[in-house]
Amino acid sequence: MMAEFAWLAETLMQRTIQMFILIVLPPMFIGIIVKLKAVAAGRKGPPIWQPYLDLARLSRKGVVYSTATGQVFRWAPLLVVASSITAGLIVPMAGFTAPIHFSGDLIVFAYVLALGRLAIILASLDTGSAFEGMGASREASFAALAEPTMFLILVSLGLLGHADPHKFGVEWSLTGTLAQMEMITWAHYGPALLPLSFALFVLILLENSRVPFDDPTTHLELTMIHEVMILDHSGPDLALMEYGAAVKLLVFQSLLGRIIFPHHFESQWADVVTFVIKIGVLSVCVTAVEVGMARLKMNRIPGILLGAFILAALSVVVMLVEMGEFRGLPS
Amino acid sequence: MIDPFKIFRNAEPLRLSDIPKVTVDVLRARTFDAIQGGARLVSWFGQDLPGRNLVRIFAIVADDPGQRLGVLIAEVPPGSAYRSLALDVPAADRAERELFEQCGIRPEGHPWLKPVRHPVPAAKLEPGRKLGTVPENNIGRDYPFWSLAGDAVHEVGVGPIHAGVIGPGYFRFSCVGERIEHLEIMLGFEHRGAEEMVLNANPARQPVLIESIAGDAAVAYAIAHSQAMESLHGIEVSLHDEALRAFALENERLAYHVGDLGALAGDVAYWPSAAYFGRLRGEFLNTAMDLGGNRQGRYFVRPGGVRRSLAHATKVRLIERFRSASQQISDCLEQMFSSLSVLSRFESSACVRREDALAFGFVGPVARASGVGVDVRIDHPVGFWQRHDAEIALGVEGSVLDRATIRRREIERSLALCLRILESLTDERSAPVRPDFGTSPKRGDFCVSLVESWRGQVMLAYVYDDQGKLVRFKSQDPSFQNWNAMQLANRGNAISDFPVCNKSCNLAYNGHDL
Amino acid sequence: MLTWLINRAAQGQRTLAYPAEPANMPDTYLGRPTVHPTGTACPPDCQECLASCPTDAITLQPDISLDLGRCVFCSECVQSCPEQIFKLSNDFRTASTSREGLKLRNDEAPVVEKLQESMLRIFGRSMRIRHVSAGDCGGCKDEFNAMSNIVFDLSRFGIGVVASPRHADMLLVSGPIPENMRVALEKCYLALPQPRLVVALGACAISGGPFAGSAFCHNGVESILPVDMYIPGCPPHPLTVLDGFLRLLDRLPDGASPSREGTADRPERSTR
Repeated sequence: MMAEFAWLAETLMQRTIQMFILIVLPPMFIGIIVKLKAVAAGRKGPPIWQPYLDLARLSRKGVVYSTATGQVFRWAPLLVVASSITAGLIVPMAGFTAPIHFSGDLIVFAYVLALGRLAIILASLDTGSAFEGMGASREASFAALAEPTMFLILVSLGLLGHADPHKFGVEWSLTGTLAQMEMITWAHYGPALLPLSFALFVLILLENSRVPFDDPTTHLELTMIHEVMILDHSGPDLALMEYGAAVKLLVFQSLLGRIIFPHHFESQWADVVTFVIKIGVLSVCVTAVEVGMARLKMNRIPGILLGAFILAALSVVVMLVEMGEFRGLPS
Repeated sequence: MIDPFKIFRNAEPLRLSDIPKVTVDVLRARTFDAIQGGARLVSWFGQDLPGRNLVRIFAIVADDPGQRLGVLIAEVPPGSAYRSLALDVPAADRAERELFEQCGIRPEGHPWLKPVRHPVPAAKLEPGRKLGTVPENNIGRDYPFWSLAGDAVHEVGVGPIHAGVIGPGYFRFSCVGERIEHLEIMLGFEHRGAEEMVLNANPARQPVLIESIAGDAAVAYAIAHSQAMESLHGIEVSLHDEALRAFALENERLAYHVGDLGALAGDVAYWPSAAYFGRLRGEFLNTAMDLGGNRQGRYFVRPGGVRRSLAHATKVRLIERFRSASQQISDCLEQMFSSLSVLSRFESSACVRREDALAFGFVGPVARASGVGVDVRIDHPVGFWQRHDAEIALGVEGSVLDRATIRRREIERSLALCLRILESLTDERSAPVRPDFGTSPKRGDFCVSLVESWRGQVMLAYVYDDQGKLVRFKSQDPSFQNWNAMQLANRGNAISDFPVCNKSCNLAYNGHDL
Repeated sequence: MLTWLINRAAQGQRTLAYPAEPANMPDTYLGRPTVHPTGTACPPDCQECLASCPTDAITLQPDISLDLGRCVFCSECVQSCPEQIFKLSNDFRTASTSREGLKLRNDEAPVVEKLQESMLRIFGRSMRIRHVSAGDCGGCKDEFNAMSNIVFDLSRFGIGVVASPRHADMLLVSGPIPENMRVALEKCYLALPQPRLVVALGACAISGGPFAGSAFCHNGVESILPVDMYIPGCPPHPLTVLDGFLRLLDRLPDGASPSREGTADRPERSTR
């Protein structure tokens, strides 16, 4: 009885912390990237909690709707936030397991994120503006290259989970894979995990509109991809869009962070601290790329994405090979 | 090649009675022959003569290697027409459209006869009217844009208000996917009526207005104006003041070239260079402030000399600042031009071919990047430039990289020149001469003054009547010729590379729109 | 990589300490004019200042006053007045929330009242600006652009520049508003969600500047949109603009901005 209560209390605590991280922390990590970028340039920069102040301001502003837009435009921001948060609930952040886990949840993960992208594309098409249409078409065409890569990454992770699928009774699940990973997994499956991590890092940059694929601070309307799609949103709608983007970045970063450093501590707080450090390190990497490189010419992006696809495919192949080698041996 | 014209030098005062007057067809023919012979079309503009019910057309050409300019006049009744010069000389394209818009003289057969500035007087506004609606201005509503037909073609229109902090202009792209097939630029949003205002301005306002035509080239315009006034009124400028003027001009060139490189880096999201050059630009703006109290270099150059003397302590401080800036800029240039990701964005994109640069009469760094070596400091030197040589840097294929490299070379040379000027400057006081311009010009009634601003050749032309009153003021910014470079360079360019091309040319909206 | 690091180390951190520390302008800076009507009146029939001012900013009747909204800071009045009535100080504070406050009769700086409490709650720590160049000569636009560089760094105050008017809180206008830009400017204003501010940047936007009286211009923003703050200059120094913003948002360390008089939530003025 006591043991069950203890387990319940512990799980409740873990879930609360995970929800807190997922819902409250994303703007702070954006603030960290902005601050790092400013310091790298030699400026003082805004405080790291500035995104919270920006969201507060936006939520108090009024809205302006173009007469060309319809219902899709008004529902899209909610859908974007909902999809980002749902995806985040599937990734085990700072905890052993994720709040949502079931067989096949990694497919749901991929497509819930795609749903968010669909919402933003439809909203930008709804405005009837040539610009936003251009941004939507760019986003869609790059997604056509990025989604297969994402899928292969998830397949590779799912295969890894097959080493011991019975631990949680789930197959093809993010929790199922990541909860079983330990630092030693890298020793055995390193050749598969390394290209996977690179491919995932490229996807982090692409999906979250960072340099070298897109410039989140650009004022050049003809070069924008993500930014141009939210040009028409104002006030609380814009707050939701920005918040949804911040959550999405955190979701991707936590996935990569968990793959690179899968160790799980006994103490919940040690887990949280490690998580924050991992995301901090990844934010520094994102900033380093942002500050060290210029943005790519638009026609070179498919080439890089193809490279990421090849890395992800390589990861799947190596994973299959390794599974063949290790099948039958105690894991 | 320009012998049939009345030959004169930059800023030399002329008498209108000395300029040969021909019919408009002969004017067109002689201009055409001169261009065929290798001359460059400087200007083709009109002046209304209401008292005589005529329109006077001026054709100004340049023989750059020979350091000579030529002018010829035709006088025609209002509403006349002639065979368009632009059919054979593309460089006359915009000038003929402007002549039609300003004076009503029609160029028959002009391939692109569209409004240049769409000058519409400001409407009287009723308080309490609804914003954003009636009365609507017609600009753009009846502008006949070229349009490409085809299923795969889509059109994107940008402007007049752009996403960044930049001037207003309307760009209409016809694209197939990401590639621009045709770009058409409609300007005129900043038309403030500068030429008319200069005519009616009192002596205090006139130089300020001229500096405001394109405020980022304020020093260049002020020098052009001062040169013309000094010529017409026979005023001498001391060597010391001429050197200070040249210093101010080169300082302005440095401020904007450094700023442009920083902006180019920012446009491709290469933040180190964007940040460093953005800050270094401030050194030159602060130098302008040390010279004349204004960061844009305004109120410093005036007819007769310069308005403020340079104190010895300030001079020493400036020398120190330029030495330190030279070192930092050289390091930053090295970093930017060796960054592979930056170079890959700039190379071979948005090229302007040499043949086009010659045919369309481009000037300034845009022309030099395409291999056309025009520079007023060398071709038509006045004052300081008669005693000192400027070196020219030439590009190869007129790409964004070439335009950036030209700026780099010009920065390096301007820095060296500025240091030389400062180090050899004596501590003489500038006499703030305030000539009385109430009297009519003694030495002529027509003057054309050219200066090489950082964008290229600025031309100011002054025409007086028999009573010595200024009756026509023509201001021609280098952008007037160079906007066609933007339209040409972007054909075949990716639309996402358009901003980089735009920034690499950095043309004036206000200078063009007057 | 090594060059990158060396250059970065050489450039250092360059952001000004202002407003935490006072900013010192060089002696040559042409700052806020001051009017010193000395005990002696102007010499009889002397109109040197009127003749020397390019924008007719000076009036002598009923008393000597200099309209900062017209002033282009050229210092011709200083050089031409035999009684030394006009001086240009080193002070960069020239912004004002009222048009009348720009008409100087002594040596006091114009006053910027902070926003109403309700607006301060929204904009106090985070604000976005949309700049529109309506006929500006390039000076104001370039000086405003410079404010985002590493020296002035607007972002440290939570103030940013945005591309879309729908994202913006403040419309910053420069230039004398040519007729050809009027409709675009009005549409841009209407696209800003409420609550919104309009600030006139530079002499042209306040009064038309050197282009005042042109048949093609509207002599400034006031005739078209309701203006919340005026920032004189030709062009205004970035510190002048920054000072104006900080006083408006009550962000100066000494908290010197006076409150607005009248009702706490004044309804937004509009020409509609």
